[in-house]
Amino acid sequence: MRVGGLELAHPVLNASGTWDAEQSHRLFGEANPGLAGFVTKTVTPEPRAGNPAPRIATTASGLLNSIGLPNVGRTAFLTDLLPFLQQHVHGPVICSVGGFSLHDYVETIVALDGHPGCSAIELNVSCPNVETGCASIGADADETERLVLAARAATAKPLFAKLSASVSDIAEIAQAAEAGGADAVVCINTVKATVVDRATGASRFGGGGGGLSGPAIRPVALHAVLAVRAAVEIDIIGVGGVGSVDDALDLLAAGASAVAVGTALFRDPTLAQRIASGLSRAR
Amino acid sequence: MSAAEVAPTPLGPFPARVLGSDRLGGLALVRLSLDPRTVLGGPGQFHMLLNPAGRDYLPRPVGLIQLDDGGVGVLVDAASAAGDMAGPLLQVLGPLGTGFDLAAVTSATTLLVAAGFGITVLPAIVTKHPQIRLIAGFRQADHVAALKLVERADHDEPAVAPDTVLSALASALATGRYQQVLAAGPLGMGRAVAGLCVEHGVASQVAVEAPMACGFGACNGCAIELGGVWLRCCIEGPVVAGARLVA
Repeated sequence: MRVGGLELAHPVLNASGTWDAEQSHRLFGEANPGLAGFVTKTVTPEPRAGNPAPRIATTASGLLNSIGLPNVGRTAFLTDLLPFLQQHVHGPVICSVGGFSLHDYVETIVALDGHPGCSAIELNVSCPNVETGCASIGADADETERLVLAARAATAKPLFAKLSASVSDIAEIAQAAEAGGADAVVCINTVKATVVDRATGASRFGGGGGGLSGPAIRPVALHAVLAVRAAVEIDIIGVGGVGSVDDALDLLAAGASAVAVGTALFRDPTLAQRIASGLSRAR
Repeated sequence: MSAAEVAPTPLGPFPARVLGSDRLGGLALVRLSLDPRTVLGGPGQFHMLLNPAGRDYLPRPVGLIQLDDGGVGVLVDAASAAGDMAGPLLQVLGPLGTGFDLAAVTSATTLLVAAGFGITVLPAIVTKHPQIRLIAGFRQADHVAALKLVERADHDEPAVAPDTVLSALASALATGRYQQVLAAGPLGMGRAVAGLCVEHGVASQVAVEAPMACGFGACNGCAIELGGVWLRCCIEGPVVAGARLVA
C-alpha cells in the first residue's frame, strides 16, 4: 500500500517518541517488530537533554508526559543513529524533525534529504513540551504553510506534518499543510495536559506543561481525523489511543490511510504485531 | 499468523497467575505462578508488571522475589493487592535493566541499605549471604513488616520517617569494616547514601527508583541527570555506581 508517497507493507507505524529501535534490537532482537516502518524520535539541530524530572505521570486513562524532545542532535543522528536504522529497520525510516525556527527545520531537512537512510520526513509542529517552535508553528495556519513550503523546497522525499488537536481548528492547519505541499498529515500529537502540585498550585512536571496520550485521547483523534478528512485530499495517518485492532479500524473508517501506535506499546511491545495481524484478517 | 499467535519477545510479556497474597502490615506480598519462560534475573534487575484488565493503564516496575518456599512474589501496597494486583491474570516483561555486580559481596565486608520498596531488590542477596548487615528505612511504620522478606539478614532497628537510614549508615561506615555498600531506594536517598560512602572512601552501588512507563528505553520518563549526563534508569540502570550519583 502507498501512504503519503511511501510504500508500506501494512498500515501500522509507531508514533514518534514511543519506540526506541536501538534498544528494541538489543532487547527484543528486532528494531521495529510488527511495524511497517519506523518513525524516529524528533531530531533537533542541537542535542537536547529534555525537560527536568518529573517527566511522566500515569492516569487511569493513559499517560501524561513532559519529556521535552531529548535527542542526540542532528549531527549524531545522521552519523550514528540513521546508519543503524538503515541497516536494521524493516521498511521505511521516517525521520521526525523539530526545531525552534524555520531555519532549524530546513537545515535538518536538507541534511536528511541527502541521506539514503531517511525515507520520509515528518515535521513535528505539535510537541506541547517545548516553549517555542514546534507547537507554536503548528497552531498557526500561515506559519504551518510557510514551514511546509520551505520544507517542500528542501526535499523531494515524502513529507508529513504531525498536527496537534490543541488548536482552534485542526482542519484549517491541515489545509495549510496540504497547501504547502505535504504528502500526508499525522493526526494527532498528545493533547496539552498536566498534573498539579497542590502545595504550589503549579504543574508538577519539571518542564511545566505536558501532553496526554493513551485511550483518553482516542475520541479526540477520531474527531480530528474526521474533520481533517473532510478538509484535505492528502493521506492521513491516524494517531491517538490506538491499543487494539478495533481502535485501528475506527481510525481507518474515519478516513485515515494508516495508523500509528504510541503509548500502548509501553504496555506490550508485541502490540504492533497483534494489530497488524488482526487488520490483515479483518480487512 | 493470527493476532492470538503473535509470539512474545524473548523477554515477554509472559502471563502470570495470582495465587494469593499475604498482608505485611500496610503492604502485601502477592504470590505469583509464572510462565516457565519468565526469567527472574539478578538482584537489581526489574520486571514490568501489568494487569491487562485492570484500572492502571501502564505497567509498573517491580522486583520479583524468589521466596524461600520456592515460589515467587511481588511486594505491593495493600490497596494494589486488593485491586489490579489481585489479577487473576497479569503479564510480566523482563528481566530488564542492569543489576548489581555481586562479585565482591561477602557478609563481612558488604553493607546493604534499603529504603521503602528498595527492600524488594535485596532478598536474593540475603539468601546467598545470610547474616549480611542491612540498614532499612520506611516511610510508614506499617511498612516495616516488609523486613520479613529479608529476615535472615542482620538488620538494625529500621528507621521510620522522619528518621532516615543515614545516621546508622554513617556509624557503620565509621567502623571501617565495610568495603562496599549496595543500596536501593528513591533517588534522593541514593544520592545521600552514595555521598556518605564517598566521604568514607567506600564503594557503593545504588539501585535507583524512577517513574517508568515502558521499562525498555522508549519513553524517556525515567531519565535522571548524573553529572551533566542523562541516564535512562531502565536501560543504563537502575543500578549505578554510587560515585556517579554525587559527581
